[in-house]
Amino acid sequence: MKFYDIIALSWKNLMANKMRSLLTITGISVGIATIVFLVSLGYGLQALSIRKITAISSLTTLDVTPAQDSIEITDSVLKDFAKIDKVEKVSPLLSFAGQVTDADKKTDVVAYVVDKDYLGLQGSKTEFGGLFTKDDQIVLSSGVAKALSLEAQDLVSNKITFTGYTADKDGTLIKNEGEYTVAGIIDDTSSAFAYVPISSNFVTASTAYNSVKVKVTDTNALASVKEAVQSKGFKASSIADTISQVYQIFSIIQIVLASFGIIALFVAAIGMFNTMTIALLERTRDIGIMKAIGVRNSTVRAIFLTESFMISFLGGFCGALSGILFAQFINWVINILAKSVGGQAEKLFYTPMPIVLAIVVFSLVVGVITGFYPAKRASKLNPLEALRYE
Amino acid sequence: MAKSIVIEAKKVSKTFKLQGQEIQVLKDINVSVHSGEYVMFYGASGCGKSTLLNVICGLEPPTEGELIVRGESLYGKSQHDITEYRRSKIGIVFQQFNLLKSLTIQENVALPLAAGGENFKRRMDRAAHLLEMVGLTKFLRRRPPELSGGQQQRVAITRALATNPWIIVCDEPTGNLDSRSADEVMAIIERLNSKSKRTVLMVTHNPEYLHFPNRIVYLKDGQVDKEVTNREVTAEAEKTNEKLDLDLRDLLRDKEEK
Repeated sequence: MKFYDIIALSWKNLMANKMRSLLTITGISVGIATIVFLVSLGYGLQALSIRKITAISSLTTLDVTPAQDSIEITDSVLKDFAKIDKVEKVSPLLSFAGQVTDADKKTDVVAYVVDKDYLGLQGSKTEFGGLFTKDDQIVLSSGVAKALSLEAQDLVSNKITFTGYTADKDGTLIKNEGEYTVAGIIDDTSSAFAYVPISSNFVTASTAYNSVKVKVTDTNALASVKEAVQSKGFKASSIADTISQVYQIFSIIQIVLASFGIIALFVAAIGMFNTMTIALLERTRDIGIMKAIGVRNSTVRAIFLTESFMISFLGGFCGALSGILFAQFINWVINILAKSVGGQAEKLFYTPMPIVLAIVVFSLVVGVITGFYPAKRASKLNPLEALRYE
Repeated sequence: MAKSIVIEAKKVSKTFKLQGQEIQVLKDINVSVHSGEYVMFYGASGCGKSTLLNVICGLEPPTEGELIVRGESLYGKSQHDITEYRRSKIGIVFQQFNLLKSLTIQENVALPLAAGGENFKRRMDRAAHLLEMVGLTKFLRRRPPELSGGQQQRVAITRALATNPWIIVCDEPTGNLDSRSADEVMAIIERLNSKSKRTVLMVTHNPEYLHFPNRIVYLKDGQVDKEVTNREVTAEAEKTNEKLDLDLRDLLRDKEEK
C-alpha cells in the first residue's frame, strides 16, 4: 500500500471516533504545553536575572579594589593597568560626600567622580535625559529629585550647584563648589547620589581612588587580565563569575520545572496508550477484514503507527503553540498587575525555538513508542480470530 | 478433454485444540476444483465446510495435508505470498459482509487495489465501474451501515471482484439476507460463473441452492460424504477461463472488464 494511502486510512480511523481522538490529542497537548510553559518560565527568569545583573555592569568589565589598606589606586596604578595586554579602558571611581543645591533647596548626596566612560561600562541607564558628555554636566539619581521635592523630569537641564567635600593626604577637608547642568536622572528613588565628571577639580595627581573598572577586549581575556591585576595586589571580580553561578542555579531550576512537565506528559502518554489499545480492540474486526482481503501485516502495523504518530504530532504541535500563547497571556496579566501597583513591565517568559522543537520531537518519540505495542499486536492478529471478534 | 485443476485439497485434516481437547474438524479431505467450475460445499452446521473454505482462502493452514493451487503448495509459500494470493487471486465474500464502516462504499471496493499500491484515480474509477454493474452507483459515497443487507452483500461481491480474481469464494453469502435479497445475490454469483466465467466456490447449508452449481460436495463430520455432478463444465467455459487467467497476470493494468 502506498504511503499516502496509509496516511489517508489512519486519518479516517482518527475521524471515525472524533471525540476520543480529540480528547487524546488534548491530553498530549496539555502535557506538552505544561513543559513548554514551565521551560519558558525557567528561561525567562534566567534571562531576566542576567538582564538585571548586566544592567549593573557589563560582561567584559572587571571591578578592581585594593586588596589591603596599604595599597592605593593612584594615577600611576591606572596607567599600569592600562598597559596590561587586552585591556581596553580603565575607568576609576572616587566617592565622597557632597551636596546638591537647586534654587533654595539643598540635599546631601553621595558623590561619585567618574570619567565619561564609567557609566557606560557600568551599564547605567538614565530614566530621563542622558549621560554626561561635557565637563559641566552632572547625572543625579531620582532620589535627589525626591529629596528636593521635585519631579525627576523637571530637574533635567536645570542648573544646580554641587558642593563636594574631599580629603587630601593629611586628612584636611577640602570644599569645592561648582555650577552644573543636570544631564540626566538615573531611576533610583531609594538613594541620593550624583555622578560628577572627573575633569572637575576634585581629583589631583595624588588622589587615591576607591575602585576602578577595567574593561577588557572580550570575555576570553577576563581571566588573564584578572590574574595580572591580582598579581599587583588588587582584588578583581567580574560579573561573568556571578553569571556563571546564575546559570548553574537556573539549570537546576530548569530541570525541576521540566520534570513537572514530563510527569504531565507521562500521564498523557498513558492516556494515549490506553486510547490506542482500545482502538485496537474496537477495530479488531476491521483488522481481520483488511487482512482477509489481502492487506499485509506490515501495512496494518504502519496504519496503527501512523495513527499514533498523528495523535502525538497534533498533540505536540497544539501543545507547543498553546504553551507559548499561555505563557504570553500570563506575562500580559502579570504585567498589568505589576503596572497597577507601580512596578515595571518585565518579560518573564522566554521560549527558545530549538527547545520547542526538541519538545515536539520528544512528544513524537513518546507517541511512536506508545503506539508501538498496539501496532505490533494488530499486525500479529490472526485474521480469522479477528473476524470472529465481536 | 482433461479438466484443468486449479485448486486441489490433498488429504487435508484440521484439528483444533479447545481447552486441552483436540477436535478434528476436517479428516482426510480430497477435493479438486476445476477451472470455470461452480462448486458448492453443502452440509449441516459444524460439518467443517467453512473451515475447508478458510483453508482454501489461505486463512487457515491445515494440520495435515496440502492445498495445491495451480501445482504449487499454497502453505509452502511465505506469509507475504499467501496475503498476496488472498488479495489478488481469490475474492472472498463473507456471510457478515465484512465491510469497513469507516470507509465509503467506493473506498471499500477500492481497498484491495489500494493494498496492491494502485493509484487513487484508477482504483476509484474501477470501484465506481464495478459498483455500477451491480446497480449501486448512487451509493458510492455512502457508508456501509446506511445500506440494506442485500446492498451491502453486493458491495462485498464487488470488492471481491476488484482485483479481477479468477476464483470467487463465498461463505454462506445469503445467510444474513431476506429471501428477495438472497435471490438477487445468488443470481449475481451465478452470472459471475456463467457469464464472466469465474470459478466459484460456495459454502451453504441451504438445499434450495443445490441446482446452481456444476458440482456439489456433501460434507459430513469433517469428511466428504459424496459428490454429485449436476452438469459438466463446458469445454468453452474452461477455455474462456484459461484465457481469463492469462489476462489476470496483468491484473492492475486491466481496467476494462467484459
